[in-house]
Amino acid sequence: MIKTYLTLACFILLPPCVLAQDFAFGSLTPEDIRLAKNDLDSFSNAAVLNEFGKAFMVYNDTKGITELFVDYHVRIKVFNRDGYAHANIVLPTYKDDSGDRADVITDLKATTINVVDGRIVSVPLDQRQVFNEEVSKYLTHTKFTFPDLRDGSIVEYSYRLISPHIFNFKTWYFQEDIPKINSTFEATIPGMYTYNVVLRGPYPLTTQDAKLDRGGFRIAGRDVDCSRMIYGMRNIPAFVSEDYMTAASNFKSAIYFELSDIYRLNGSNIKITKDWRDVDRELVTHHDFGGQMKRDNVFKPMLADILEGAADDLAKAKAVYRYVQRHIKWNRYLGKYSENNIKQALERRSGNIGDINLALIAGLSAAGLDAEAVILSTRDNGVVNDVHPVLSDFNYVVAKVNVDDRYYLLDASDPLLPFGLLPLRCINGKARVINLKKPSYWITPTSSQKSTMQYAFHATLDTDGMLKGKLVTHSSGYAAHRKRQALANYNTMDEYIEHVDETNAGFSIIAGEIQGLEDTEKPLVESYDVEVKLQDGTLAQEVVFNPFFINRIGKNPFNLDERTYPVDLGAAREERVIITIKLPGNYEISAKPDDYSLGLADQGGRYMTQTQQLGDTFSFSQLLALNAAIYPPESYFALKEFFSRIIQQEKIDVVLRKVEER
Amino acid sequence: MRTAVMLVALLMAMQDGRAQQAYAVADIPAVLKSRADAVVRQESIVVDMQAPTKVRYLVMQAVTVFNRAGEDRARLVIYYDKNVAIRRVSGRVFSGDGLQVGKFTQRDLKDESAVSSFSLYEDNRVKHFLPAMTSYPYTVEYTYELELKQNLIIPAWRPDAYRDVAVEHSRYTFVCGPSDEVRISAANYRGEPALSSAEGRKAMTWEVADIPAQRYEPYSPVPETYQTVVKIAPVDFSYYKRNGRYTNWHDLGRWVYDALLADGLALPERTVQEVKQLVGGLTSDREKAKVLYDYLQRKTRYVSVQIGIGGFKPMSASEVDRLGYGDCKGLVNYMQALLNVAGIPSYYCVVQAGDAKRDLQADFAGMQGNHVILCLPFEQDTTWLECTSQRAPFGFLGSSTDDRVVWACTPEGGRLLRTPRYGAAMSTQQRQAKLELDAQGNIAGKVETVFAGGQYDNHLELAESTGTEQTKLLKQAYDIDQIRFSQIAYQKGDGETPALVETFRVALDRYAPENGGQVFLITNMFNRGRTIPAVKNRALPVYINRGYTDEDQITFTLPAGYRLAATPLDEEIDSPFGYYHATVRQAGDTIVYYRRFTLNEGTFPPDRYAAFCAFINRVSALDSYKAVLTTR
Repeated sequence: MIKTYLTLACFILLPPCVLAQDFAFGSLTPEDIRLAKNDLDSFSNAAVLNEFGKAFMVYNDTKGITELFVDYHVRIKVFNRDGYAHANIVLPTYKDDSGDRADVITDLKATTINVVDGRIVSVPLDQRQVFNEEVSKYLTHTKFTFPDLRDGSIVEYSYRLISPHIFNFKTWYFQEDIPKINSTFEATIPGMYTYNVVLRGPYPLTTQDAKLDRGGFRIAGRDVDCSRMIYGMRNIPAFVSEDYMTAASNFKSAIYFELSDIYRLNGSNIKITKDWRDVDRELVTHHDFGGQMKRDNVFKPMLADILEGAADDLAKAKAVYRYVQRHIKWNRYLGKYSENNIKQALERRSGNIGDINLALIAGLSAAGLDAEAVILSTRDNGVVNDVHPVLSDFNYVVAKVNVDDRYYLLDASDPLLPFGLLPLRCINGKARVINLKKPSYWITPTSSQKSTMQYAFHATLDTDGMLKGKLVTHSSGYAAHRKRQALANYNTMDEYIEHVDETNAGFSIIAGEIQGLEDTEKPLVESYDVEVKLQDGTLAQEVVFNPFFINRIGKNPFNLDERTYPVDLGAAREERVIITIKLPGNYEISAKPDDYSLGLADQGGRYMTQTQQLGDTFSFSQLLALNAAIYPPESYFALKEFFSRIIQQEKIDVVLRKVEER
Repeated sequence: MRTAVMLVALLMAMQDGRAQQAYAVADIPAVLKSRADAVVRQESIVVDMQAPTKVRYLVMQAVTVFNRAGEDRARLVIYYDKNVAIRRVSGRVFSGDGLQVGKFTQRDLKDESAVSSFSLYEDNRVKHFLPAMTSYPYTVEYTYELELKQNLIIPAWRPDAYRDVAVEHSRYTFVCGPSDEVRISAANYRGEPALSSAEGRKAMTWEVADIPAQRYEPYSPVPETYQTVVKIAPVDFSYYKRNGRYTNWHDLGRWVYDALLADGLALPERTVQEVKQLVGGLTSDREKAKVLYDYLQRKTRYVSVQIGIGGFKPMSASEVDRLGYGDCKGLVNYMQALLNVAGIPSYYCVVQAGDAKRDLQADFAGMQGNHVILCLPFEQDTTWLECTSQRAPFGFLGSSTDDRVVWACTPEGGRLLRTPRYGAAMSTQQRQAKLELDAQGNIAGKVETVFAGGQYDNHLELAESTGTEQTKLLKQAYDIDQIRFSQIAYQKGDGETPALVETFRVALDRYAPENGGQVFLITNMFNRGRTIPAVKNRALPVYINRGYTDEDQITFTLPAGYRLAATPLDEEIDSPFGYYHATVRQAGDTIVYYRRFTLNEGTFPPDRYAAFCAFINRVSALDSYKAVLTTR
């Protein structure tokens, strides 16, 4: 991720500068009319011709609060019918529980502009065709679409958003899924607020300016000076997401504002995000964070039961982890704060991530263990700012328990996870450890276990062409977790095995059993009695078969012609296959894949196969290891080539030939 | 007051002996546990039609959940709009051994908008609730009461709608006045409803018990053919302040036309003149219609907005004319208005759209279907128009509306019609490729594919995309390692049946690896059949929804000295399910791969599944035939 920190220029010293100005509504430039598909890129079906936003604050005397005003204006050209979707507009507005603090959209204006026979024809939006959809208690969508759309239509709209939520100011997205010719944002911030301004993404600003706006904000009868900042970007390419990529917000060009200080009129200063020391204090004293971590008394009544039989600290930690896993069901809401408080969560057996993992921390502390909280941002949410503490970046909390010289990261929201393995969504760069007594610090969580699969197939080839034997599969780490999740949808193991049997056309399962289902810390072991039909009827003189019938790759997961972003697989993985086949006495290998070994640079991965005959036993082994969780974009083609070679190798058969009497 | 007494009696009956005691899982018969993600322990639905504008709908349901996949089956879900009032909701939660562990009321329900993903706006909402339980099994019991302010659409009873849910007991009761006329359809229900009367009102009750869960079976027929559905249609009805009476498709079609369509066909004078000008010089109605269809496709687009009158009344033609958009109803109505100006008759036709061919229920008139298309009853050739597509050629119905019974609503009344079918012989995909193999195993050459009839739209989206987006879609369509495309071109055919011609040059690096003096070449790279699961003890008939024919011919030019070492391939399979023929043969310095595959549509008895599976899986195996070449 590329981040640039823009210093908030001290505006008093600045010379007067050019004012950013909104473009006139509905008045097209010759360039607007001329712009055609393919002028910007080969694939976009619409483009933003111009976009202007202006954010400023107004003190609302009636309500007694400061409100954020955002004026937004955009002009989009739709080149063809596939671009029409960009003329369907959804404007989300939020409100809180009581409905008092609600965003409001006003002054919505929208027009379709067509060039018909050389004349410019405007069709304004029918206000009756604007719909307000109350999606939920907290969210309303204002939706509309443009009338009279044709290939080459220009659509333009503007509105004002008035919001009581000034904390996050307004994030301005320069880059979106269609290209933009010009995008300008003007932020006017009263001198009493200080924001850290962060530019993310690879593209530079083409305009950046700041000036003093004397008396631009009026509050309690006083005029406060404001700094007016202007950020502009031109010719911004469309954002195209790729497979195996973390959150798009990590890569999109956008400007973020993070409130750091508020200066009161009486001269006092409220530090919002100054440094981690302040954040630590805030979190530790926060009723729904530190306040919950401290509630070890909640666990006192059941502690003896939970810890029964736990001999050492590790066993105790595991017992508490299991207890919370089984007693609070995740309600699918994220959050670093406790939603209900941990006591209620335990009673109601339901809670958000904050409820569950803060309860876990309280429980671990109750058991006399050294437990801390780790706040992090999930993969979908983007990586966190590691220069300034930006609390709103963090949307998740997990527990860290320190036992002897080791630590374990725990998330009790998923009952199928083994102790110490975080779900994949939590593996996303840096995370901050919050301790009730000590200063906080960074760690970088990784998957504590490799995702591994081991297939062992020991079989006998009969003269009737049937290969009969036992296929034993060991899965660990995320591979085992995925299987346990699949198994959770079946009532009985038999139904699951039946499913496996039916979906594998290559072999049929005669009988099977699964071990380690209950104990998530052990590998999941599937043993199947398997039959594979190599030939119909008696074995021919020559038997051709493909040894890559277990864990076959088949398709290349990396199929792009170019790659912009890192390839993020989340966790290292390793897959091994061992096959031994006892041949009928008079057969031997006449052709086989050459033994093969292939590596990725910097020990990034390995692929190996080996085939041999020892006496009457044919053996084949295969290893596929991807040792890194994240590969840089430059490695993409090496990965593509790596899988390509594997696919080629998989096409090669083994040929057994009957030998005449010796 | 009387009705109240009767309802209390019914509710008492709902909570009979079994429901009174808690829902211990141990009481569930073993046969109902097999393959079930959940079991409906007890369900009782009472529909009490007190007046056309007042229908009480009472539901009591208890569902035991066995695993994660079954959770949503116990969720309480109530869809509502302005015509539905929610009277009361309450529920209880029981542990696996039948002890009550929780309860809930209307306050606990989440309220959300229920706008479908394809719509800009609808005025439907949903309330729902699922208790949080950390372990299985558990049971959720709830009761609720709604008041429906119309009786045109009475919620049907579908006790076994979910195959992974077993049903211990379910009951549906319809209550109405002694002189109320209703029509009834009871599909796949054995026996007759129990009749009773009390307080001068009559009641009919249907019930089922002990229906085990079924596992998923691929190639299953449409559910109407085997699931129990009871539908009630009152003869006299009221709907959004409009009253009507019907007993057949004809009368209902007449009502729809009069009440919902007739007043929306007027066009502004400017458009009338424009239409007259467009069709002025043309002689045949077909030509005129084609020009107007083109006008529609250029001028309008599909945007779904569903408000008022339950989403049955189209936006008026003048409104669509002004806005340039509408939903399926609005656009069909608009096209009809355009055709009216040109004096060409057309029918507004309601259809059940979807890939599965589902007929409207011919013997039971009622508000069915989910989409509208337009029929032009030309004397020689009836023509059908899909008005929501800006891409479809004139007269082309894609796989979502082909070959099924639809309902035309006309000023003369309603009637049932059947949309056209592209049979297996007409739905073709024909591919010709000339490829060259070099000594490094690289392959390059030209590929041409013609998609026609029912397969016309296979690559239509691809054809209309551009640049890197098109390359990306091509790679999805031809998902082969290291594939590269160039000189991509698409052309639409002008013949009777619609056709799309796709041509490109392709390059596949090191496609054919060499090992120990042999080169391995998988000859069918573009069109490999998949396998299907060998489900044993098949219960449902085998149903092939849509037939088609694919033909592929690939000529590989080989480097000098290369010869086909393995036995050439020549296998033909002729089965009731279809036909397959594949050959690989050497011809001079080339090898030629030929494949023809026809899948026949039809319904076959359950015990034929094994044979069908053998056919499909054999095709799949032969499709991955590997030609082994020697290099000397």
